[in-house]
Amino acid sequence: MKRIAVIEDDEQVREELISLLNKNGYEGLGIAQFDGVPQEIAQAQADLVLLDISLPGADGVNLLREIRRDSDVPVIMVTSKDTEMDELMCMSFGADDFIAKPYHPSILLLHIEAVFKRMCKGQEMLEYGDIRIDIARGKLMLGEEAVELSKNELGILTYLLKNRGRIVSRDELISYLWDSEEFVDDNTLTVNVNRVRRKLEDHGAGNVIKTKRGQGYLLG
Amino acid sequence: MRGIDYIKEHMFDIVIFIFIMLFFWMFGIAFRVQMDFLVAMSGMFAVCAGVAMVRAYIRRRGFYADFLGKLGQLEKKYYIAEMVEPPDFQEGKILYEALYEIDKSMIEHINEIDALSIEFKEYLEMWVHELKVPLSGLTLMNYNESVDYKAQRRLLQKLSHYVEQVLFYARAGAPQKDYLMKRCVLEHVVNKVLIANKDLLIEAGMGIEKRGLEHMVITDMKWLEFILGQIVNNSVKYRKKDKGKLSVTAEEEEQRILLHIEDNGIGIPAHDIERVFDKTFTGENGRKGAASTGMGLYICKKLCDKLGHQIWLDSEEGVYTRLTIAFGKNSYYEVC
Repeated sequence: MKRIAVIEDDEQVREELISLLNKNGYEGLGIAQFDGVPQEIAQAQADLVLLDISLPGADGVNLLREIRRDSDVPVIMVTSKDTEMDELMCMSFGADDFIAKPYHPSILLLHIEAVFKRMCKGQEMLEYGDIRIDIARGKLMLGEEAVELSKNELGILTYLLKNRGRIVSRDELISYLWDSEEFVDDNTLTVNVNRVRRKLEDHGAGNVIKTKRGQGYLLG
Repeated sequence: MRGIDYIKEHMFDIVIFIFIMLFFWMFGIAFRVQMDFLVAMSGMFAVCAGVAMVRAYIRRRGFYADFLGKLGQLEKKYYIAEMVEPPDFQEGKILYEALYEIDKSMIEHINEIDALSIEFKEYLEMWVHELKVPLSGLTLMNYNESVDYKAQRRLLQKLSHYVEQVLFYARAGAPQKDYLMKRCVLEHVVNKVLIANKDLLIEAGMGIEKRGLEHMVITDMKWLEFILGQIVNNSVKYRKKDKGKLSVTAEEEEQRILLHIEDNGIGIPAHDIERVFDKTFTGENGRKGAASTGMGLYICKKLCDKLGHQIWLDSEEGVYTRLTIAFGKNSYYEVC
C-alpha cells in the first residue's frame, strides 16, 4: 500500500485528508511539525507528499526545496492561490503537480493516481480472477489474451475493480468517467457497461459484473 | 508673500529705475536745468514708481493671502478653486484657471472611485444575502445530522460558486491589469469547467455535446474558466424539466474565433435579452426559477471587456439560450 505524507497545519483538514486517503487504498500520514520535515518523510518512507504551500512560519516552497535536496519523492503542492505565478514557482522548484483549494476530493485522488502512474510505469496491476488490467498502459488481459477496450469501457472496468465487493452507483461511474474527460450520460453508461460485459463473456469471464437494480453495479 | 522677497525679486527693476534717474540727472545737469526742477521731477518719478510697485504688491498679497489661508483651512484641498475669487491680475488668472481644471479632473476621478466603492458595497450586501441561503440550509442539515450527502454537496457547490464570484467581481472592477494572456486550447478549458461542475451537471442529467474545440485562443485561462462556469451554472439553473442538453462548440472566422455555449432551456423573453448583461438583472426568469443576484452575466461581460473579448446572447423563449464569446486573432494580443 502506498504511503502518503500530508503536510498541513490545520488539524481538521489534515485529519480529513488522511481519512480520505485511507478510504481510497492509501496509507495516510500526518506531519504537523515543520522542522526536520525531509527527515520525517525519509524515515516514514513516504511514497508521495501532499504539501500545503501556505504554512504558518514555514514557507511551503522552501520546504519543497529542502525535500528536493535529498529526495526525489513525488510532491503535490496544495495551495489556496491559483495564479500562474504560484504554479510556475512550485513546478520550477521541483513539485510534480499542483492543485488549488478548494478542490473536489475526487480530483485530488485523480492527481495522486496520475502522479503514481507516471512514477511507476508497468508496475500497477489490477487483478480479479482471470482479469488483469495494466493501469499504466491501459491494457486489459483476460487470461493470456490481450483485449481491446475503449477508454470508457476501460474506465468502467477499472473503477469496478478498484471498488470490488462494493455496489457502485451509476452516478459514481458517470462521475469517474467525467473526471477522465468523457462526458457520458445515463444511456451511454448503460451501453458501455453492456459492451464490457459482452467482451468479458466473449473471453470466458462472463457474469462478473452484476446489476443491482436501483443501486448500481457490483463486481465480485 | 513677504515684502522683502518682493523687493528682492524686483531688484532689477529698481536698479534700472535708479540708472534712469541717474541719466535724467546727467542730462539735466548737461542741459543746465534748474536743480529744484530736477529734484522735484525725480521725487515725482520715484513716487509714481513706488506707488505702482506697492499697488502691484498689494493686489497680489491680497489674493495669495486669501488663497493660502483658505488652502490651510480646507480639508479637501482639491476644492480650493471653488473657494477663492478669481484674481484680477494675469498670473493670478493663469494660476486660477489651471487650478480649476486640475481640481475638476481630480474631483471627477474621486467621484468615479466613490461610485465604484458604493457599487461594490451594494454588491457585497447582496452577496452576503445570497450566501446565507446555502449556509442556513447546511446549518439545518448539520443540526439534523442529515446524511443526504447529495443535497449537502449541492449547497456546498453553491457556496463555492459565490465565493469564486466575489473574487472575480473584484478583479473585473479593478483598474489594474490582473490577467495574463496566453494561448490555450479551448477543449482544455471547457473540459476543466465541465469537470469542475460535474456534480451539478450529472445530477441534472444534462447531456453534453462538444464540437470544434481544438481551436486555440489567446485569453486568461482562469478568467475564461470562471466565465464559462457562470454560463454553465445558468444553463443548469434555467433548464427545462428533462432531457437537458448543453452544447459547446467553436468555429473559426477570418478575424476571430467564436465559442458558443447553447442549452435547450427555458430561454429568455425577447424584451429582456438586451438587459441580460446589466447589473443585478433578474428579469422574468429570476422570478420563475431560483432567486438570483443576476450578477453572473454582468461580471462575465466586464471580464470579457477587460480581456478584449466580445460576448453576446441569443435566445428564444422556451427553446434555447446561446452565449457566444468572440476571441480576436489579432496578434496585438500575442504575448510570447
